[in-house]
Amino acid sequence: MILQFAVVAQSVAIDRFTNRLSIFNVCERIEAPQFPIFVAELVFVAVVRREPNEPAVYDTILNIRLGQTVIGQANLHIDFEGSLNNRQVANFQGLPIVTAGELQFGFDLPNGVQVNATVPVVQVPAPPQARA
Amino acid sequence: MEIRGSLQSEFVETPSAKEAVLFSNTASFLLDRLRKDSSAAYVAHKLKTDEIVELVKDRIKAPPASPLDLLWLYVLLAALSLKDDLQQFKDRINSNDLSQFQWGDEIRKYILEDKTTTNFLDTRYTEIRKNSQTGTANRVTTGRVLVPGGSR
Repeated sequence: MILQFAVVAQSVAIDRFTNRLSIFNVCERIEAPQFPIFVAELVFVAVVRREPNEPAVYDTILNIRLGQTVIGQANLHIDFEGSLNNRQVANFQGLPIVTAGELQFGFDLPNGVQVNATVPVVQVPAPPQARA
Repeated sequence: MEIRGSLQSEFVETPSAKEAVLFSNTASFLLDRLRKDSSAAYVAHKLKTDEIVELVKDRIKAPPASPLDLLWLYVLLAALSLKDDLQQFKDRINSNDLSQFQWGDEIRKYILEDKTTTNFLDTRYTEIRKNSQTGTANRVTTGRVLVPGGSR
């Protein structure tokens, strides 16, 4: 089983007629003048591929880390349903981030391969206050 | 026939569906047109997947006597393609003999071909710091977000 790609974005859509995946506003970096912050909408997308002799169903755990700290966890059920490709779409409708660091979404594949997507969270200077 | 009785023919035999059946020159074009047509959406909304499969089986017992018979079969197949649980009925759909219908076999091949499956996980952050989890598409999953500070 191998990872085709993994990415963090604002949202995704799947065309009902063509089954094509579209990813909107890929998230390369999260900037904030102060912490904690609350990211209202975030999605983690991973596309994995398997060989025909590899298991079609696999359960694993999605870990969301900020630096070394686990800030979220979820059971991930990978079901290829007879296909050789599978998409994992994890929607977060509200993700609190308490400090700057490396925000990492990751899970393990059965052959020990680690799937990771990382977004740096950085503190930036606050914009100047408007004067009355 | 009871299943068919729950469908109103005027919503299936729409002018646009008739036009698609009459003027399409390939199976893929016909399927593409019908999938976007209100007739297929109506059938998919009104009937469960196994009911549509039964109706297809019912419709192919006799050779098509008119273009409307063709239209019904094609709309039913297009409606099947809109169903999320279609793959569960793959064997039953494959057991049907669609050779008497011009593009029956081809359309069936298109709607049953392997697609990339998608598993969804929805996580909502709530004020009480517990997350409700809902699985859409094909699986229900569970999870939690640990805040603030998290655990090591």
